[in-house]
Amino acid sequence: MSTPLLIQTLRNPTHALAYSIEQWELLIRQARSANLLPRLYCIFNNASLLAQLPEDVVNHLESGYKKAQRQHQQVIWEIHQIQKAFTNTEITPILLKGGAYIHSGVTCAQGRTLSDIDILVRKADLKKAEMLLMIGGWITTKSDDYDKMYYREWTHEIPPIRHIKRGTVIDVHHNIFPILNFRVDAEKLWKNALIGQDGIGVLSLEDMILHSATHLFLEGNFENGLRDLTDLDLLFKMLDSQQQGFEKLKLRAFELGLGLPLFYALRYCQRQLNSMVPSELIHPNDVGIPSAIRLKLMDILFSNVLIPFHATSKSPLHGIAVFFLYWRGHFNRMPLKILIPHLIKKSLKSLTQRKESKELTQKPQQ
Amino acid sequence: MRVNISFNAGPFRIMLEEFEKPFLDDFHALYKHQLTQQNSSQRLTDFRISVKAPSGLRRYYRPQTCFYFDQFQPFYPLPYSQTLPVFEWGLNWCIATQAHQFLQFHAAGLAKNNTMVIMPAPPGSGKSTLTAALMNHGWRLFSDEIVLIRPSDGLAVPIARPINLKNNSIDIAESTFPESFLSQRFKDTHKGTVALMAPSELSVRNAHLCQKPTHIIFPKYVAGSAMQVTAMDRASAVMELVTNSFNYHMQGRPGIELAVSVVDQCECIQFTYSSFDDAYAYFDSLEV
Repeated sequence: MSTPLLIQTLRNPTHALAYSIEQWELLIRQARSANLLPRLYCIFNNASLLAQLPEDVVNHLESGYKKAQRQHQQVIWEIHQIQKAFTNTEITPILLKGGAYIHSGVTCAQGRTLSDIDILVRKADLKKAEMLLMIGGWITTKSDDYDKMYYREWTHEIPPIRHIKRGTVIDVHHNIFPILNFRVDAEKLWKNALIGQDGIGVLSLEDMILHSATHLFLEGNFENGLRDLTDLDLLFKMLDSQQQGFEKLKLRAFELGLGLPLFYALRYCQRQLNSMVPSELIHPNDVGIPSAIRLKLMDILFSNVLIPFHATSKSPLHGIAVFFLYWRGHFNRMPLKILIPHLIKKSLKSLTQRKESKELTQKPQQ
Repeated sequence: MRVNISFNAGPFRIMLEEFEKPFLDDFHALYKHQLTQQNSSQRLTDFRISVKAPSGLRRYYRPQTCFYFDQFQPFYPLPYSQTLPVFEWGLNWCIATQAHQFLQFHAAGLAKNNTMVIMPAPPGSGKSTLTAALMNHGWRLFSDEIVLIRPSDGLAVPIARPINLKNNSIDIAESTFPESFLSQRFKDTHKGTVALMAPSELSVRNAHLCQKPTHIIFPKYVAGSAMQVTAMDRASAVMELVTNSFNYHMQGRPGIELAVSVVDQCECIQFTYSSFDDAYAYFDSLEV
């Protein structure tokens, strides 16, 4: 299967000027399915190409961009509400991912949309943070005792909390990675974090990159994989090449034990997006880097999932790659002795609960 | 079944990719004028839509219908019998959530000569019935649900799609306008019983002609009442329009400026009526 048109366009935006009307339509469909329509608008806008594009193409790009801009306004306001919930306490939450990009106004915020706001608090502050947010109106979405226990015991976050009036969702984390298989020392993240005057923080640029890479390459969901890869590409571009930004990033990755996700991030940014990154930054014989055969396998898997999840760009291997990486994500997070009882318990519960579930007529709006 | 029917609805190009056979005749009759239009201009398809029953046993046990925008499914399935209204509602959803190149008001729009009327009104005010009546009286239908305003010049843009009639108004429409095509009735929808009326040939043929809004009329049907026309202050009219806008909140400052300038150039009126003849006489008298 040839490279999806969206990926070709991300590599070479100027080539789009020669697209036929059929290609434009395909590009818009793929970009919409990958949640990259607003970012594509920004890419064309930054390259001053918008004026040269067909009007009905710009309509779709601009509509997507307006939607994203509206969401950014809402996110900024919502972050302000989170900050208010923590006023006069010693808790300074750190924003992660999309919320952090928008709050700090980095280029990676351009055209970025999100479905919830992720924050990090210290594990010792978790109970208090949850209570303060509850007073602010955010209530837990999981009422089931087993689900609550699962989140608390085996993950790096509490169940998502939803604002009772506005419906906005916050994910409260106490680490950036599940605690079982290996441990990222959260205190090290706090040490380098940038806490603003308003009591809200973001991770340092290096840690932002490592978090994004860890999330993408060690967990198992890839519907937004291509978008997350473009996030990484934009974050890499912020590293100062004069100041040996990449060397510092590498040292930090090894310090946190996250050399492998960084290796993958560099490799697939370069392979999928032609990013200008030093792919030799981490040598294959560095600790934890997969053997040549295993790497060949990972290349096949990742190149089949880091694509728009659209019928026009899925290869015959897509389904099996998604399946395999999904389970790999589970194994990365949990040892089998915990995973297997969890899965059995979940499937038994889904059998008994199906009868009780209410029939809904409309899905919640995106 | 795969049908791949491509047509223009005002500024949008739509491709119905898959549809259910039992509803195809009604669909063809409702979109007759659009389907016979020559679409010579090369442009992309804005909305690829499929409305189809899920495969497997669900085809036989309490059958359902699913709406797809490209491969995205924004709604839970609805009863199979509502397949055609689901297409209409789904297409409204596509326009309301994807076409932010326009400021969109939840209102009906009609025009005759140089008069262009925007009619925002809550459900139950008889807006769709009045719209159907005026269309059959020679007014050009812009839309019975969504009035598009183009920011570049402030003109209203026609869509000219079927009118959604509800409950009692279906009987009235059927007996009063026998020459207009009316679809079968779809019972027990979330809006009660629904039927669709085809847009007039004139409306579809001139769907490329945009027009400057001249009047904003809030209609109200009150049985047995004498016709009543009251001037409305512009500030209230703006507020009514923007609170009933599908995408005002996406438009930022230009959105409110556009809404204000539209209202500024219009006469704003509250209109109570009980007979179509009164309504025809009044609307025909609105000359610019």
